Amino acid sequence: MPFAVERATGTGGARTPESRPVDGHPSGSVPGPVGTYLAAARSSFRRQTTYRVATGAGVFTNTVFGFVLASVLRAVYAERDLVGDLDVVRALTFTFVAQGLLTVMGAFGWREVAERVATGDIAVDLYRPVSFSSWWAAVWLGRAAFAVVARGVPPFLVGALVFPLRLPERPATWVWFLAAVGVGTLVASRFWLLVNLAAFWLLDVRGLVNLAVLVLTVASGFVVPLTFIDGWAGALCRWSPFASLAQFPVEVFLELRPGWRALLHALAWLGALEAAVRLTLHRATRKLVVQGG
Amino acid sequence: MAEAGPITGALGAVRRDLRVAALLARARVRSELQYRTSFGIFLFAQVVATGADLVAITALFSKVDALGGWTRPQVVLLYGVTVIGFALADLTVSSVDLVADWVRAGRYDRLLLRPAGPLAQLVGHEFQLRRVGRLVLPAAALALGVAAADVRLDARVVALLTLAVVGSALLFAALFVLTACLAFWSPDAEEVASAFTYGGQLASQYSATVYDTWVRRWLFSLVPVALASYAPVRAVVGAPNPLDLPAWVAWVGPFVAVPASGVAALVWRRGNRRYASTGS
Repeated sequence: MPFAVERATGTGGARTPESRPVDGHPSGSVPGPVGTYLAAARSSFRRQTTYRVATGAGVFTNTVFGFVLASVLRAVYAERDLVGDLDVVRALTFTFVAQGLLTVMGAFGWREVAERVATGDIAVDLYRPVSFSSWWAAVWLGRAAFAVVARGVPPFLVGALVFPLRLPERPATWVWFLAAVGVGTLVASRFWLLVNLAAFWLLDVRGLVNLAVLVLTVASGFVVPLTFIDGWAGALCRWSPFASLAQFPVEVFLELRPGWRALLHALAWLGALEAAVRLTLHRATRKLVVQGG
Repeated sequence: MAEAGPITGALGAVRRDLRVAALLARARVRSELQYRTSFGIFLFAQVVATGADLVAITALFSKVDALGGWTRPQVVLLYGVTVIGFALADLTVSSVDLVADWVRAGRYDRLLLRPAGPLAQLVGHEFQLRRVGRLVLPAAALALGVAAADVRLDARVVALLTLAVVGSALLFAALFVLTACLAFWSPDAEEVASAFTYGGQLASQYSATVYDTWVRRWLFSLVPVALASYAPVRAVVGAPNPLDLPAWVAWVGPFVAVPASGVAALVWRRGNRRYASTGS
């Protein structure tokens, strides 16, 4: 856990920070909430950099899966030239970019908060004088920032050696893409936080997490691009928050979707899910008994 | 007690290990069934969790009529065969991938001190009855595939399908054990195992003709899942044979699980002998 946070006093910036020397803080003042969140994100990022072997292993697996899925898609395009607005090069690019986004969006599941609820450590998180939901957003963003670079780039590069992949033609696309990924990962973080908060009632959320992984990977376009899913099922996926995890950001990358539309969808869902998180947290902590310690 | 010869001794050890695994597993099942509702939810989640791949197959075939020369019922049948095999291996042996966790936590030493094989203990200790749920969808797919692909269930077909399922199951079990051994050399690299086990399962759901030469060679030699599933199922459904596989490969292919298990057993022994605990 990234506890490398300078001691924060005050409640969310309601008081001005005291100006006295604090350990490890050369400027001599205690950071406000934003500084706290930045520190949490930085620690989370740094923590990820220590798992070098695990990251390498993950990249290897992503690449292998990318190759398998790309091969299957190429077999599809042996039968027809276009599926929706995806031609073979765009479809192959989709595969590898999506593979890179898997860890960024926590598509394999995330149970950190649920585990802390089960052990009672959640009490520590709830006692912090910063917003619970923003704290976990900061930790998540630190982890996601590392994943974007370490897990996002290498599989694409290896895939590009074997398959014809397409890079954006307009420089602005890169900015829109990164923005879409950034907001998308925040949406993912709210979703997973919501799932984890169920631990306050269910205690063991592993079954729920399994179901969540299934729904997320299918509706995001990780299993197969949503372009292949027609009818009400496809429409449902495209309206869901999950579309902003993979399908829409990748469509921005492929220059098939305007960046502002993808961002609008993601921001709308971010607002809705954040509200849901705050509501659930309020209900969960109204009457809380922490056992053990 | 009379001195046991090397073969009797080895067989006796296997029998003892199986008994230990069964005992531990039974205890786990009893504890799992204590919470009926929770178990029900978990079971449902397991049934549904295998659905993602079927969603992919359905979605892809909504756009084309054939993949690598195979029609949808044929691919569904292939999916059924290979995923049943995987689910059987997953149900029995997949907990071996926890070696990495146990090694890192320093708990693995406990297993080595007991008078039973560590593999049997690990597998029995972490048995999860709920994983039975993973057999439901692929079994349904197998049945549907047989019906829709106009496959007549004569003795030859039943024999080939049985060989394919059993061969795939054994092969995936061997893969699980073999890739778990990575933990003895590098516990942090455990995700590499998924590339071979889950990656192999995914790759074998589609006809081997879908892949280009490179990947195909791997699917027939290094991770020979195609020998255990593609070869026999191709003979069953009568799909085209662009790879020019001779007829006997369909019958002999699944037996690749035997040398694979041998390799897995050897590497497992080697890994255990090499293992030097960090102490705890």
